[in-house]
Amino acid sequence: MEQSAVSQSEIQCNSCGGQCAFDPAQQDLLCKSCGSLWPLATEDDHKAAEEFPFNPDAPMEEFPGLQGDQIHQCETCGGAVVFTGSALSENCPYCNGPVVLGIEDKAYATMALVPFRVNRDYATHRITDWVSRRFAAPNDLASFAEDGRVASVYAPFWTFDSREAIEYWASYTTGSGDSRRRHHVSGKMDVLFDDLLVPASEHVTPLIRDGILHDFRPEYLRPYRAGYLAGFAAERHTMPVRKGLRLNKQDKDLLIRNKIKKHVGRQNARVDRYRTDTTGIHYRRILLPVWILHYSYRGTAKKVVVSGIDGRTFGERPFSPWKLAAYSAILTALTMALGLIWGATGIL
Amino acid sequence: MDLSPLVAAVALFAASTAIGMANVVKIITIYEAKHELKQGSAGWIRSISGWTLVVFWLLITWFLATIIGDWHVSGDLEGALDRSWLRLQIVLEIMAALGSD
Repeated sequence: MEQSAVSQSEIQCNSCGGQCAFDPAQQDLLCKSCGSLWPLATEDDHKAAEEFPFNPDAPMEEFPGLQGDQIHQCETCGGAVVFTGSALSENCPYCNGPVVLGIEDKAYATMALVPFRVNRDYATHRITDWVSRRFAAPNDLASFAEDGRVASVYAPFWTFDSREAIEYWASYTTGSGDSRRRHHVSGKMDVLFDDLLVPASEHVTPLIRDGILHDFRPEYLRPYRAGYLAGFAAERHTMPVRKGLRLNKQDKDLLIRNKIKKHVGRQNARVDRYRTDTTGIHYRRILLPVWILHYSYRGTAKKVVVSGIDGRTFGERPFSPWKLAAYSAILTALTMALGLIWGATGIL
Repeated sequence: MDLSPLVAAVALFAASTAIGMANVVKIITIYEAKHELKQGSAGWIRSISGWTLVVFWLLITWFLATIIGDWHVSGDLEGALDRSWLRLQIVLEIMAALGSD
């Protein structure tokens, strides 16, 4: 479907003409006026999981397909989101800064999205629970978090598949003291990356991704449709695939090195170098639903993010210096007690 | 009664507690990563790396405490230092093994 200039009629109630919003519980459009439900599912929904090939060696320029849409641009963090239907908020869902209306410079078409399955109440409950379970957190953290604002947004992600033919050179040590030896090994292995999620937004860090998106299930993907976005903010895809692959480079390097260490099979293995031949790159441009709590603790902005798919929660938190000192003092006291007894008894 | 070992123990306790605060943050970060981050993901690997610094902190505290304990009983600091060489070698050996991990 055409993603720019979303037709208002798509999210209007067929019975009363009222404004509809996507209901995570029913997975349908819900009319705010008369309460009618309008199904969004179609027979072609399974096609949303389709992946697209990408050849990094091809001299192919990717042109953004969308531009000129009305967007809400954040004056604080620069984030740009679109609201389907009436504007929901005058604040940025990523940083809570004020937003102003603007015209989109360029954007790429989203291929699919996972609709919200978690509603605001459950997301708020998950945030409260997550905050209450922090070790060494300040006593007043919960009250600061309660004063925060919870916003929903469809955040842009890529999924990448690739096959890596890896040749590596590694080393490990054996023995101790004078008999310590470093051994060098080399080997070959194949690694298959399947649906590696890469944030396509500067506002979602890889750490937050790894905290909230544990099990990406392609069968949850639905075709990009205005109805799924109704009532939620969404950030557009603004980066070409090449940039996505570049952003993923560091994470992929870390994962490959970790797999090589496992392949070597030695606890203290070190990867000296490796080279990989990457083939079979496939990608999707998708949107994933997240709830974000913005709160400010003693002047520092922080956020807690809840997956809109299954409610997994992860975020940023402050530490209480007094509690850290207390924990540190306990560990120090135990270690010192052991050391003092050891030294006093002359064991060694 | 010689109070020097006691003063040294208090000083070690204060210094180790202060230095250890950053290590407690690391311990909590690792705990949260193990329970909340996706196992084997890049964020998980980054979060659990650096745990050896926690072991170094505890090993050094333990080692210095053994010298103070020996000093307190024998009343001989130089003798306590001499007797600590073997322990020091073991500590350095453990640290070298962890460092290359």
